[in-house]
Amino acid sequence: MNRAIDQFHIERSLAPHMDAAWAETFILELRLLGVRGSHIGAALSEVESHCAESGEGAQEAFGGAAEYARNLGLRVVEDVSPGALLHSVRPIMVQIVGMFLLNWGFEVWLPGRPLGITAGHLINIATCFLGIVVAVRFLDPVRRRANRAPIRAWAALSLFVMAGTATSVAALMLMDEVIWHVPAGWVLATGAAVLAAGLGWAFTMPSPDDLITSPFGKSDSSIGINESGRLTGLLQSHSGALALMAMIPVGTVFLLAMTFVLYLISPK
Amino acid sequence: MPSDQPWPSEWLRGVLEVCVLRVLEDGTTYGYAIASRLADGGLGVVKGGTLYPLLNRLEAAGLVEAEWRAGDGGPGRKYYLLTDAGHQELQNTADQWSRFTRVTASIISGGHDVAEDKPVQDTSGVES
Repeated sequence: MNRAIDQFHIERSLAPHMDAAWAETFILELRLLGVRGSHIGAALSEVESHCAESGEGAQEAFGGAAEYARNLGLRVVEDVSPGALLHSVRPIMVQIVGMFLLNWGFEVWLPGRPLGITAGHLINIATCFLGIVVAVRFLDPVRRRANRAPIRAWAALSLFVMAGTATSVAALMLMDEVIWHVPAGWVLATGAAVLAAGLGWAFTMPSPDDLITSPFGKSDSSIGINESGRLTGLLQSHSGALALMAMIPVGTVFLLAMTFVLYLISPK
Repeated sequence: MPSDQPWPSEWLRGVLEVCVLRVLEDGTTYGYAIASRLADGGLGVVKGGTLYPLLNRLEAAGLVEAEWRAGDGGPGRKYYLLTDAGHQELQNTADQWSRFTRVTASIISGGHDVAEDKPVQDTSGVES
């Protein structure tokens, strides 16, 4: 199966007889509006049915996919505003603090030194939080643009990540005056506790299982998983929510392993 | 004006709902069949982008009910059925529309007395 077919797996599963690119834009717009997955599947099936009966293409019969999705007036069941998304990622922000503390603590625990907290450390966390807020605030326009001009969207995203990383590295290197010395063990223990608290908080948050399903009851669980590549879908799919929960702990373990390897191979 | 669209779209927007309700009064049917009936009746081509949002609004308002039926070797269809509230709405709107067309026809044809056909309700914005 070639890449183009893979890209439209969801659309071809639900509406095999119609223009997959049109269907993709339609699904994306309804997801962004916060429409329930079963309603999205039904609306798509109705478009497909009409196109098959009339012999018209979706663009010809329904006009632009995004505009038609907005005109349909389907009931919105999920608050997908930036405020609601920010609310739902608060446990992740707590976990990120835990991840930073564990990594910094581990770095100094290996050679047996205390951690000298600097303004650069604090700016690291602030930059990360600011990045999340900006990403959530501009999620919808970026996702719409990503659908129309993926290369430009990916370039913008890469620049955004690079700017954040550069700011963090520059802050660590230039603002290295120690404000406070903390024993490495305390930093490690606090980091682990904060990470666990963030993880526990994430588990207590509702994780709606909202897959896009056909009105004929044919449900393809892979649709929900693939849909998790899109953040709103991720937050609305159970498997996607679990993947989000595991992301920071797994990333932390990876970072600690990298730190350990670098410590082993660095000259003493 | 395109050849498949004999009426101004502003007029169609006003009359489409009552026409769809009237088609559904004849029995349960699906979107494309409704569009075909309207086209055959002389209303012109009603695009899916116009028809289905209207059907959704009617369903949300409780004027129609819908059910999916699997197709034979092709996509399934969503069938629409007029509810009791839909029948009532059709009766009211059809009566109003008849009065409205008599009034406008009378005005356009030369200014006969149309007082008896004035709307019973919703007279805001209409100068007497």
